[in-house]
Amino acid sequence: MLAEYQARVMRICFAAEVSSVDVEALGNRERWLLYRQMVRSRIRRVIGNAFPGFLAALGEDRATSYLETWLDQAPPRSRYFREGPSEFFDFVQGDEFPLQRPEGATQELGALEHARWSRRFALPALPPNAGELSFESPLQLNPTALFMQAEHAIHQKVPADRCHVKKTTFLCIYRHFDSHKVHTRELNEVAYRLLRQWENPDITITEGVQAARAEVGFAIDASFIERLSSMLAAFVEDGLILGARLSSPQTSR
Amino acid sequence: MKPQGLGIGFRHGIAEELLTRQPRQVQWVEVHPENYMLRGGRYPALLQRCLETWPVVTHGLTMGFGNMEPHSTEYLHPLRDLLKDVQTPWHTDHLCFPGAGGAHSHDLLPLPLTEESKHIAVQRIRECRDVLGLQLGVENVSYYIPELDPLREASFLVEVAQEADAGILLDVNNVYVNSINHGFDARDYIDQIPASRVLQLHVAGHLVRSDSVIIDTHGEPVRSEVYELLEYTLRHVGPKPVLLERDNNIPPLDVLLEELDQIAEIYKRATGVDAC
Repeated sequence: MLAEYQARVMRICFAAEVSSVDVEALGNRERWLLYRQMVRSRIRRVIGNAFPGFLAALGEDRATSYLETWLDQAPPRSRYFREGPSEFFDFVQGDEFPLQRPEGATQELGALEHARWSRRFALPALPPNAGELSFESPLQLNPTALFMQAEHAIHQKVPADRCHVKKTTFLCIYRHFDSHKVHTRELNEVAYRLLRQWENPDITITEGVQAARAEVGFAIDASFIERLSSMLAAFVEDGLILGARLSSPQTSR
Repeated sequence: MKPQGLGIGFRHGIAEELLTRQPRQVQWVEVHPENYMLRGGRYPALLQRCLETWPVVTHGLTMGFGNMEPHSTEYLHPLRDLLKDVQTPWHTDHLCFPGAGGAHSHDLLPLPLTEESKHIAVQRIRECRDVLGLQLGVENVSYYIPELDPLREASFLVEVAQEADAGILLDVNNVYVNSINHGFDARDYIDQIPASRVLQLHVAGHLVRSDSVIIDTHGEPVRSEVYELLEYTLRHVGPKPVLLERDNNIPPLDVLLEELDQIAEIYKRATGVDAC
């Protein structure tokens, strides 16, 4: 009895259409619809907070369809309210999503906003210990860092009636461990390739440079070394690089 | 350390100012574990500072003792770790069900006040207490379905608490809201609650809609009727810790401190004890 009652209540809250059978079984249609409205509005609010640009780019009708479909077919599974936006975006990008998927700059904007939202509370709570930088040691990147390559300048704000400029864009999104603020940093392609290499805990800064050069091709000369040093210093200053990775089971060799 | 006197919900919007000012009215704070578990960023950092300042009491949002399915250790073990870290004297959650079939409503959905519901709630409380190793308390919730037999609500709450040997977190605003929405005497409800079971009290504001239905929003100032019921309740249960809940539409801290001053006056009048 209780299991059936709870299943009916959940359907009233999440189904696209409220079943008259469920409402009649529970009684008091008006008050159960009040619960439906309270549950859905709270969830919509957190999705709106996480994806303001994405939902605006979709347009009101399409955004509403996405939300309604998600609640109907894959309602929140996580007990952590903050994870609702990730569940929503995963559904929209997943194989089971029955509507037309977001494309182009809209999809990329969703991914960027999802990265920004999830970085706010991504683990770990405390930064890992790090040593002094050395070209012959692996780097300790900020573990909350996410890297994105997009085909539009989605990190730039545009007026509501404009589209994001089409331009290959390299981004890093991470949370600073002191301020707890999420930063979105545009990178040039070389910096992007280097950082992606340095994500590997088993290669040194020097090995990362060589691997990135093999990918995109650049001269390693005095000027490059100078710019590399400046870049590393700037990234340390900004909390993206924490220092040299201290030995761990993965990195000891 | 056990909380005494008045506390306030440690909410993000007022946390920095609370920590900086440490107002005399605040003797302890309440945190929602779900906001801190398995999470990096600003919240855990604030919690660390909070622990250096006040006794902390935990109040869950998603355990909902009326769930059909037992709670997983994936949830209970990190919860246990957090409760241990903050040294809470007890942990409370709501007598409701938050979801079913693996889905979460992120709301406090009402249970039918049946023997089956009671059996499930008692079972869930015992299971959770076995894992958490801590005294648990159940909170009465607001609900909006008169068909759920409101006249049985107080006895249902007491029976669950007694059979599970749990404490009660008595939400005075919820008693008031239900009494108006469902037409029963709030004082009769309070009279049925054994004082010895009460761990703490909650007091909050509510919204009166144009159709006269009252919604427990935690987003409005505490109303005079609720203050009156709080005084009656304190006379009944004695000097238990009282928490001012404000989760939405949070005003400047000074406004909340004025509410705490008002609660302190009531506390003194009802119990003879200074709350802060």
